[in-house]
Amino acid sequence: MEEAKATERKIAPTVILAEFEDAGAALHAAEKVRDAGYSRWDTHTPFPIHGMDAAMGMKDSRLGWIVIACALTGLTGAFTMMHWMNGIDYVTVVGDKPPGAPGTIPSMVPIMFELTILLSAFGAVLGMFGLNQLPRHNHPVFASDRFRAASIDRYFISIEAEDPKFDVKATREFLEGIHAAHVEVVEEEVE
Amino acid sequence: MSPPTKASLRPDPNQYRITSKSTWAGKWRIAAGVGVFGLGIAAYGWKVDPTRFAFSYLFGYFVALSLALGSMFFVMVQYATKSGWSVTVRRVSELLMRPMPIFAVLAIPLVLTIHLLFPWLGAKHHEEAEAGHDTSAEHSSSDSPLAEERGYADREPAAMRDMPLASPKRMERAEEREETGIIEHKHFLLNKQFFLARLILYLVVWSWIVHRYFKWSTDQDQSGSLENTTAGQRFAPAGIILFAFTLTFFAFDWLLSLDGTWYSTIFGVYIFAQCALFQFACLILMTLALRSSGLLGKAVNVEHFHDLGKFLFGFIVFWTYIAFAQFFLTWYSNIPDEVAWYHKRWGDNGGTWQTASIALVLFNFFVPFWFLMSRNIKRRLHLLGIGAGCIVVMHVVEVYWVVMPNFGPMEPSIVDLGCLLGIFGVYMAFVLHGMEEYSLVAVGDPRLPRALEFENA
Repeated sequence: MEEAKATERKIAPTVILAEFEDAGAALHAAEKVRDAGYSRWDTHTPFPIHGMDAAMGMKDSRLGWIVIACALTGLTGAFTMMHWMNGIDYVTVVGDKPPGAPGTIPSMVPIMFELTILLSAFGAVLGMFGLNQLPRHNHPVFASDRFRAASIDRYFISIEAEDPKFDVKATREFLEGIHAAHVEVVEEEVE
Repeated sequence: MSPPTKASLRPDPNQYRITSKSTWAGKWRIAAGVGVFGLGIAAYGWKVDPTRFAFSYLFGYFVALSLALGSMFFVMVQYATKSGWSVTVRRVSELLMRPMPIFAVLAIPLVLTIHLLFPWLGAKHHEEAEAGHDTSAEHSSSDSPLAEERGYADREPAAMRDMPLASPKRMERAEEREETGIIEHKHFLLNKQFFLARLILYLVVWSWIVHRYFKWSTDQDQSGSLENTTAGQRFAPAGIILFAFTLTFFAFDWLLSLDGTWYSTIFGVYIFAQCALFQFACLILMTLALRSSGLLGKAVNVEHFHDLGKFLFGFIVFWTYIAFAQFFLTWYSNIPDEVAWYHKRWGDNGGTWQTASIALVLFNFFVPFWFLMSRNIKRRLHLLGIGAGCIVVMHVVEVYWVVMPNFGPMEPSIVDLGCLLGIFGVYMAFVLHGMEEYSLVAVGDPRLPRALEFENA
């Protein structure tokens, strides 16, 4: 019964893993993958490798733009909120400092500062999650037993099946051609 | 090819030195010339208007001292945090802090003019001297302050005491009495003997710390011994605490007490923020200049400048935070004795200081904050240099803005420039002379190879 079910499902390659034995080899291989024009691929190493960003051809993170948008929202939002609440909707004069006059802006600065920081922090954390497509429960590379060594002493390059240039045979040959110590096609059940 | 031996892994100790052919050789003479010329103008100023000279000299003195102190702080922090990345730039900071002992000699004119600087030693500044005339005449004619009848004159703020009969004359007199009361209250700290004893203490402590660190680091150039590094690391926390206390009290003594009635607990931190900011800006410019002459080889690269830029940006934010906090608390409570400090820099003194006050907000915070925010700017060295240059100029303006309004309206004079060039010139002459004597990179530091490979992730 179970066997029959398994055969009904389609098994297809999801990712190809290339394994390297040292950081330098992985770095140079990454340069070649970059030059070959792949887009849905990544490197997995036990520690950060200097120069990997450039080798992978990574552009500047867009996170800064998200954060500054959040920061400016917080800054102007805080000002508008206080100005409307204390200066227009229900005028509250504290310490002879009527809200709304330009000379009272200093009293608004702490809240403006705090909301700027708060929204920037939210923007940074949530934006990071968003750009990294997190949270996700699983990744095709986890189906490989060899991949566990990526947090110990092996360096991996993974090319995903969703990459437009992906072709099991050609990609496999390409990775073998750039001196991967071992190439593994990870296959999984797909619906 | 033979395998590399341990000795060949160590960098050549003479790799980063100013040779006699370098454009930097003998440059200290120019700085010394500028210094002597400036001090000449200053001496002329002393003869013409001793009070003006005293304030100008304090301004010039603190500009130079803040760089030496900021550099000392930076060096100690690098040891305390066991930083690897900064080994390549640390020596420049060490050379900047090295002339600390000369500030003892340079302090002599200050000590001689001390009675012209501080109101608690009887100094009458411009405005007060003018205002003091008619109040003394008023004093003898009417003498029935209400609060004295009530019997708690000493506990009531001046403004409340005279409230029923508030007249400008009465207010003025009450404020004057209040001022004397506050100054008497501070007598334990603000008396000449203790004050001068403290000055000696600060200078001894600073020179001692500087001597220790400089010796540890330069001895290591030859020996390469790890013990020097660990000794520096062990002493750093104590050194930073000593620095914090001495700088705070120096700021209270020499800058805050120029206004005898002002209180601000955060003032020491505010002055520290200036020192640190100035130091980072100068370190960036100095290292850029040395690098463009090829003296630093490949030791300092864009990654190190990026980190210094991050520090510069961070301390711009820190300075703003502290300076605003100090202003905010004073502004909000609006107590006459306290707001006087800001009034001198805004409406009083004929409003002449307003431009400088606005310039500080704009060019020590607003413009460099937005300018230096981006990673790409910090990694383009000429742009980083522009940002650092802006901070250097604004630091000079800020010290001027802290010191001079206690003297009177903003009327820049040749004496100010003379004192600034004089003291800074002499200081830089010692710095540049030191650069020719020692290696420009701490070649013996065991962490140097790591610093050379350092990269921002």
